[in-house]
Amino acid sequence: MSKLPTPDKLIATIPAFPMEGWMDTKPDFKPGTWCYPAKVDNMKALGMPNPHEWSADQEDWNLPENWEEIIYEGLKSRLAKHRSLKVFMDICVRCGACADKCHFFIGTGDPKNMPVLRAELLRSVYRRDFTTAGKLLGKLAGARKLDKDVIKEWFYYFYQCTECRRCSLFCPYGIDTAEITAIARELLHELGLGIHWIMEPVFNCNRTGNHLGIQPHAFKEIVEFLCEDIETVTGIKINPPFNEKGHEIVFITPSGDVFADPGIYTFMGYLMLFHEIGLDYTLSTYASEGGNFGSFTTFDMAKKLNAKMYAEAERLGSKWILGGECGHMWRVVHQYMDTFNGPTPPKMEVPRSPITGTVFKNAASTKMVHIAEFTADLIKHNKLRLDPSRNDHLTVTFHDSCNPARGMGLLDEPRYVLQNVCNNYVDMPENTIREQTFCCGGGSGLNTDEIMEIRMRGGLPRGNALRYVQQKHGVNTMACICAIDRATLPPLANYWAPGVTVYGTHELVANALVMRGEQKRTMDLRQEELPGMEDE
Amino acid sequence: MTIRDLLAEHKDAIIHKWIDAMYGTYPFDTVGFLRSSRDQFSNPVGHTTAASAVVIFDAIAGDDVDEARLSEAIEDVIRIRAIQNFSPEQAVGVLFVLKTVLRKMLRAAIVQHGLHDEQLEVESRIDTVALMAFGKYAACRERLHMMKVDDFKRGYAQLLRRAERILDKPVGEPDTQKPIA
Repeated sequence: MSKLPTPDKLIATIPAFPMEGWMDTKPDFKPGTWCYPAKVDNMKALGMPNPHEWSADQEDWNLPENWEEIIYEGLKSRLAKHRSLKVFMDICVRCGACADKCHFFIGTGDPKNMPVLRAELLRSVYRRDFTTAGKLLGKLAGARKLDKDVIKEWFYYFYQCTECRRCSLFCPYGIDTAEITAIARELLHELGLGIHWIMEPVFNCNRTGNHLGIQPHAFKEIVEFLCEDIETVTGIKINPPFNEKGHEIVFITPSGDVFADPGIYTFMGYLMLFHEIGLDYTLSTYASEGGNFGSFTTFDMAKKLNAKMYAEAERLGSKWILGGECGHMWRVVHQYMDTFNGPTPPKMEVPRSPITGTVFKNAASTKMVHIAEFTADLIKHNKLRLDPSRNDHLTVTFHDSCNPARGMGLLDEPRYVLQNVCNNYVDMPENTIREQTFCCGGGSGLNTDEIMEIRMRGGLPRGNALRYVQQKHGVNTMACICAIDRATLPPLANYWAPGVTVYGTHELVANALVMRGEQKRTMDLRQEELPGMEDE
Repeated sequence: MTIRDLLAEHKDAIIHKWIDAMYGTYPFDTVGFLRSSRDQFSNPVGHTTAASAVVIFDAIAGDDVDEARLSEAIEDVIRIRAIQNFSPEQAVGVLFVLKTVLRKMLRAAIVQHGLHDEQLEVESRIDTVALMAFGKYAACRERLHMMKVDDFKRGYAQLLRRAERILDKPVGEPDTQKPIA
């Protein structure tokens, strides 16, 4: 028997002053805060080290016996391989400029989600083993002993970083926290700790070329469904080429655009655009995935999965690659592909738009062009007939996906496209867009539904800015150029700004695109009536 | 002297204390940020908590209430707390803390002016706000679970469509109608 607590006592979560330092606090693996572990069979098939059964909510994670040695050697070899990591470990002065810039810190209020402290989780172990001060002074020099709780803490917090790099923008030294996270995840993988949502797509991609493991005949059939839908809306029958040799361009996009709503409408948009301009291209059922979940696993896995792009371009004899709307795909292409998979096959050429003649010198080395640049160039040269009034019922804003925005500086092209295909366009507040864009909360392989709560925490700053323009300007549409965004933003909008619908940019392009021989458009690509254009 | 006069006189101090108590439900190292960062886009949690507190205070003080505005203010703060690292009691219970703040700050004046009945009315209004918050919390959690289901459906939309074409019937229906035993 006891007396009932007062409401104040009942809600008291934490003491006013912490009883212990950050090194001694431990994460609480509540349901909804951690991702399900990867399947042992998948890990084995991929040749990942130490595959084993484990679960984050269990006390014992069944780590391999020599787990400390594995981490020590793993960190040592990576410090030798990546000069950047060594610099990032040593150079941070803990100024705190990054501290409040992380969407996960803002949304969770958890101090260990401050990028400086998240990095410190790894740095403290680095100090103990790899710095003289740390070896001699231990805790006084910010060093700590590696124990199993540290591994658990790494798992908890490095899977609450979406590698969006917003913090890096504010770091006076340019420390790339995404790279620290990537390497911490590599180290966890050395111990056999991976997550299902990442490793299943990696496994599938490795075997069939795309995340869902769709085989060529099914891939082709599903694209044909979408062509039927295009015919319903426009009256035009499109027969896209599959795996055909001798076309100038091979088109590669995330498979989410083929299989998932609302990405399919973006994919229909690509097909309609290519048909209208008479592009000489082929699809590939092998290079049927632009996304690269290997990049959330290890650099080696990213390299392996990415290699199919050039392999297909070579096999099909294409001169260059046009890439669809994707986020992390473009970070890999723009920042790693040259090193991973270059030089390009000898017959590939510097991309040149066959319609406008524009040479994409920025893609001279990768030979791969982002479709937002390609379409912006078409519009700039007045090569498309557009009727933006078909999108007049939409008030549109644009979510800069972290990777194209911060990873490759693709800021103006998508806006230029959108402003040419929509009459009502509004940007979100300045400190939430372009280079300072806030993450969708589900990037870097965290777009899995078992952590929907965590995703909503991470998506809070983006949702907050979206809600602001919804209330102030009547925004009802958020456009993006990323397949993960098309998966993560619908629930984000549903929770933080109900009433806002998510569109791929090329879906809006295709709605406005006036095609030769088309029937009167009364529906948009979702087969919803276009207000004011209903059938008479 | 009425309790409305008292509340009006101490409005800023009461709201300040209450907001501090709400911030106090976050870790110590985060409170400084919530309190000091003024930008509504850089610090949405702090900004929303503070903005909602003012609207809710005016409602419980007994002023005429714009119900839509009050509802929105409660929803804004609960929508955040419903997905953060709080138990349901912790998420919604911050409303009751307002009672504690009022009692502590106004106790002497209430006794002096014999305003106990009016105090009870104010506290009842806090109960009303807390009940509204309970409804919002439940709705947020329900939406969260629906979002998981919708996520799955969107992710496999075209595969389900293909399966339906192959099976020639909606996915999810049993293969044969089994007789009920």
